[in-house]
Amino acid sequence: MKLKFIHTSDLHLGKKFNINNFSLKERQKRRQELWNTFDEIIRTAKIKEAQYLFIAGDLTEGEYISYKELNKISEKFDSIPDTNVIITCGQSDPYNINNMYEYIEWPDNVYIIKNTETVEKLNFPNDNLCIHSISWDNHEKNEKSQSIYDISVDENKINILMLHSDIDSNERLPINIDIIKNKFDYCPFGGRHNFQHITNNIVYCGTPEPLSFEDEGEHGIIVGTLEKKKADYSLLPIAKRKFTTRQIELSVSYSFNKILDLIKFSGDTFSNTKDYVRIELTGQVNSDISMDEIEIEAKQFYYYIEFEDNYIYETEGKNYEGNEFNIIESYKHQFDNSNDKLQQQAFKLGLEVLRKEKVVK
Amino acid sequence: MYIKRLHLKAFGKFINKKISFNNGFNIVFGENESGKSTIHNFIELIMYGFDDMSKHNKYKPWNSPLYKGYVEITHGEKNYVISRNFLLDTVQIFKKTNEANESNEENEDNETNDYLIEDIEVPGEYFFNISRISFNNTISISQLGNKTEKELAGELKNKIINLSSTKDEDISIDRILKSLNRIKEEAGSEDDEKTLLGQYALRLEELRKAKENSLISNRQVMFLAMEKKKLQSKIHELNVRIQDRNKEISDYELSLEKQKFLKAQPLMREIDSINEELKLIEGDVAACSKEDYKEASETESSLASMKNEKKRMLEEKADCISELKLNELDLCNYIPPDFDIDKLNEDYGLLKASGDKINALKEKMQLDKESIDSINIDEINKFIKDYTEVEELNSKIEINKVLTDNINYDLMKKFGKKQGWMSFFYGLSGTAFVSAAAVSCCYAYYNNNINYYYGGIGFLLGIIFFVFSWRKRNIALNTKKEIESMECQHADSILINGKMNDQINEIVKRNNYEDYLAMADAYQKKSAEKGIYEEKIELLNNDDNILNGLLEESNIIRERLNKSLSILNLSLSQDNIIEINDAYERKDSVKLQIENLKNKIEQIDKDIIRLDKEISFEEKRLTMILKANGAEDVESFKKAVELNEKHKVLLNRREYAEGILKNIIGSTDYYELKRRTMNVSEEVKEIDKQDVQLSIFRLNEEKTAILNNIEDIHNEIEDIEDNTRNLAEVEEEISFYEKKIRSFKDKIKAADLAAEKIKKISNSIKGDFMPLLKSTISDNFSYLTGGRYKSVSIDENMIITVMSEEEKDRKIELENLSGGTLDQLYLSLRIALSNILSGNQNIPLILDDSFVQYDSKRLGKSLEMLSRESERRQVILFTCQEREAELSKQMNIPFNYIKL
Repeated sequence: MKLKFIHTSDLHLGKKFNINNFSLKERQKRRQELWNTFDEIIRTAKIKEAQYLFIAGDLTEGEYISYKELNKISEKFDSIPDTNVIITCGQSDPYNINNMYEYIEWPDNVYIIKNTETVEKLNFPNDNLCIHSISWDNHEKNEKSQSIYDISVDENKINILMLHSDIDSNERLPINIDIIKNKFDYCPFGGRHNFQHITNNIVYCGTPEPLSFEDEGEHGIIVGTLEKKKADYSLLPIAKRKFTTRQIELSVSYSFNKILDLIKFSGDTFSNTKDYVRIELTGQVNSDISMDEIEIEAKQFYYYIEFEDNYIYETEGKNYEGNEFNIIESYKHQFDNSNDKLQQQAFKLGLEVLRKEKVVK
Repeated sequence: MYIKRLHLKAFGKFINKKISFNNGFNIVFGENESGKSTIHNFIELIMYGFDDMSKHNKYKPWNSPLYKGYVEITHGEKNYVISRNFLLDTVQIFKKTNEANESNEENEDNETNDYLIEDIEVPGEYFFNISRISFNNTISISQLGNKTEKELAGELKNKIINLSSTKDEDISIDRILKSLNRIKEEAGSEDDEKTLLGQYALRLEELRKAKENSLISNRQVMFLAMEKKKLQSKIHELNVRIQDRNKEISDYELSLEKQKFLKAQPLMREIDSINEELKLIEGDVAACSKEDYKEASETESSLASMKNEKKRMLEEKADCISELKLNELDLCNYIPPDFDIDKLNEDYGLLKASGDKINALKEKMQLDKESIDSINIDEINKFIKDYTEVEELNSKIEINKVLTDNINYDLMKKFGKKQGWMSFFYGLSGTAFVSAAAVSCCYAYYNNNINYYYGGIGFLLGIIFFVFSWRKRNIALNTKKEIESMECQHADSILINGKMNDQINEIVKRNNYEDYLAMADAYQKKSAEKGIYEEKIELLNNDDNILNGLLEESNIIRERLNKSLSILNLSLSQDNIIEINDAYERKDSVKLQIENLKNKIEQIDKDIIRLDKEISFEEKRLTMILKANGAEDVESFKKAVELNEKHKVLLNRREYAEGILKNIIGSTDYYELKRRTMNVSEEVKEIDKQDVQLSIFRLNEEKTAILNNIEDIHNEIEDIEDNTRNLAEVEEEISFYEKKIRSFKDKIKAADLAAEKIKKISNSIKGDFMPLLKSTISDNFSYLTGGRYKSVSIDENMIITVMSEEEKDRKIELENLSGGTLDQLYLSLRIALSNILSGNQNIPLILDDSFVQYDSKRLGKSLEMLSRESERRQVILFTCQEREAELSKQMNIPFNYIKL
């Protein structure tokens, strides 16, 4: 019989957002969206009648999750009594003295991996299933790879290895996949935020809801079926928003409106009104154009937009045979094409004031 | 350098418009809307192109597909043509090499003799060496406006100061620095609570405290959660103990239950046997009620009686119908209302009387016939016939006797002889004549004497005699034949007479008479007898006629009667007449009878319908009752009811048994009890239940206390968390404000840097540009005022003064200058700027309606000034008034006048 399962990780419920340009309100909203996505996962488990829900680490943000919120999670798990929920503790929610998981009353269908030194085995004889896992015990590092290699498995069972690990790293539980790939029928991994298919049976599901501009692309949960030597699965996208970065190279000849249009039409409208968009501006800009105004103007076309200003103002250009006429022209010459942020800022500010003065007359 | 010629090939309202300027003072006059500003803009656009699309559309010709123009410029010794296609926004500059082509009208398009200068995007910058903005600001000079002299002076002063410090008459260094300072001030400092930075610093401090609080709270929560966990394990322990106690009690209770079970067992067996019995009949027991059965049987019997009643009614109805049919068939029904029975009876009476008469007559006639028949008329007739025949024969004999008389015979003979002789004579005569004629002719022939021919007439005479001879001979022959026939006839008559006499004799003999006479006597008698007979026959015929009349009459009546009777389909007969009379009499009574019968049938029908309804209702009711009780018919219903009764008895018995069982085992299920007590020994171990229960109670109390404690802890945790800000939120806010402060500090630094740079530039402008400006203005001012004023000075405090030639040491502040002098100073400033910017190229000076608001005096002075300037450079003055040209003429100022 095929076992139905859902594999997720890195939900980071209660996360503190460090994205500078996010408003406080947006951070709060995004935090709530993580909760909504968690609800969505529970709902999916119910609809799909999943027998197992693998959470491969970082379910919550250990320091920031409250007792009340954990109880809420517990209640949610209680609402899917037919689904066995296996939780491994990851880097963000390590199982240690400060971990609150220990003090929460979990329903019977929830199994928290509490072993942090050796691999813990969870047997589900009804399904002939054995889950092997180890939790983290601190935020910094985990180097207990050897204990993974030492696992002995019962070949008659369906064997699962659930880890929160960055396989290619040095300290985040690195794993040589060649050692494990033939030992287990399915390895639900967490610890990387993007969906990644290492081998047929070793999969990073990625975070169901992206958390920063590093988490680009599709996000969701893995839904699949499991039998001995065979795992069928696919990514079910459930993320409410995406993070996307777009590059726009500017040229001195571009007008205000042209730059605005480039930004405006850089992605599809649906995405623009829903996703988090970062626009990386490069190239040169005519010093007559106020990029600040463009950036302010562009905001109205986006749900969220931030700019990475890697462009430089063109300061040379028109030269009337040494006849630098007025102070504005002279001012432009005062700044070389410096990449120094302060210089650029000062240049922009001064130019803005001078221009305003000229317009006011 | 000057603009030599404009050619607006297609621009605005102008198509192929050409304007030539000289290198001096040009006055371009045009009334409003004549296109002055179009030309003015044409110069700017051809030199600099479009900077926005509104102008592109404004001057796009509506009546030409083209959109282009040329400007010819003399620069040094060389001529250039600048050609711009506004449609494509392309520009080409040709340096003219063939001077001869100069006058050629189409020389702008003739590129063969010209040489194209490439790499020039903006001709204005190339020729005038200034930007569009500078072009608009300096070359094209607008008026200072109709202001008071004080205001004029103030504006001019500002412009000069701005130029001196920023090289831009509109940009004030003071205002720039103030703006930058304002930015800094807005940000303020972290120490000043009134400023943004100060506010942020305060908020940050608060947030850090909040974070501390949150961390403490989190630790508290953790501690409480641990506490709760400990208590929960205590609860678990207590639960185990309570469970043990409960087991003791439950064991005891089980042994008690075993006792109950033992008592209940026989009862249960009885119940089982009842159940067995019930099971046997249960399948057949239907939910039927006795009352229903009673009702059903009652309904059924009432149904039967109703059906009988219906049958009786149907019979009665059939009787009525047959009776009705009889009545309806009764003759009287066919008697039409206008039937005249009296006439019928009268006719019938007449018919009967006539019948009697006919019968009497017939009888009489019969008698007559009989009497007639007694006479043998045939015999009489035969006798008479025979007698008549005899009579006839006698008469014939008489006639024959007469006919065979000899007189005629003799006469005939004589006549015959006479005729024979006559024929002979005539024949002889004829022959004689013919012979004579022939002799004569021969003579004539042989003698050849004509006269002999007359003898030929003898032929004619001979012929005539021959004819007579022939005729007489015929008569003689006929007479002879007649005589012969008369001789034959005579012989025949004698023969016939003989025969007739034989016949007479035969007839007489045949009639048994001796002779003819006897027969004649008999004939007398027979004739009389025949007369009587014929009389009788006549009488009989008379009677017959009468009879026919009567019959006819009776037939008419009969027909009439038949007609009347045919209405009723009856034949004429005595009985029928009587029947009709009877029917006529009973007509009304029969009708009444029919009516009654019909009513009766109707009533019966109604009754039957009513009865049918009742029957169907009853049947339905019966069916319903049967259906409700699951029975097919009343009989089976009865059986079911009986079975039901039996079932009830059994149920009552079972109920009784169960009642007792319940008394013993209470609400506990027997089998549950059996199962529970299966492994329990029958022996009862006595315990002090109360004691055990008390201990359970105490344990529970303890548990409740702990649970309350847990609840308290739980509430406390909730309370703490509710009253503590979320750590993530706090930290986010901290980082948010830290970033804000950082960015403000950066902004202050940037503002400082910008101000520093601007100051530096301003100072360098003051050092480099101000002296140049001052001296250039002074030069121009001195030139324009004809040396009345010597110089313009600007001191360190930016106080501007002018020095007059007359009073060399006296510095006059601008406020003390007259309007005209300020105009001159302003123009000097403009010219100075254009000179400085263009590198002293003496680029053309273009003025657009600059003096509209000037009075004649001020205008005169300005014209004088422009005239003077036109000696150094080209001056183009656009105006909508004639007075500039008129005044110039009056003042003997040379100018090139162009009227649009």
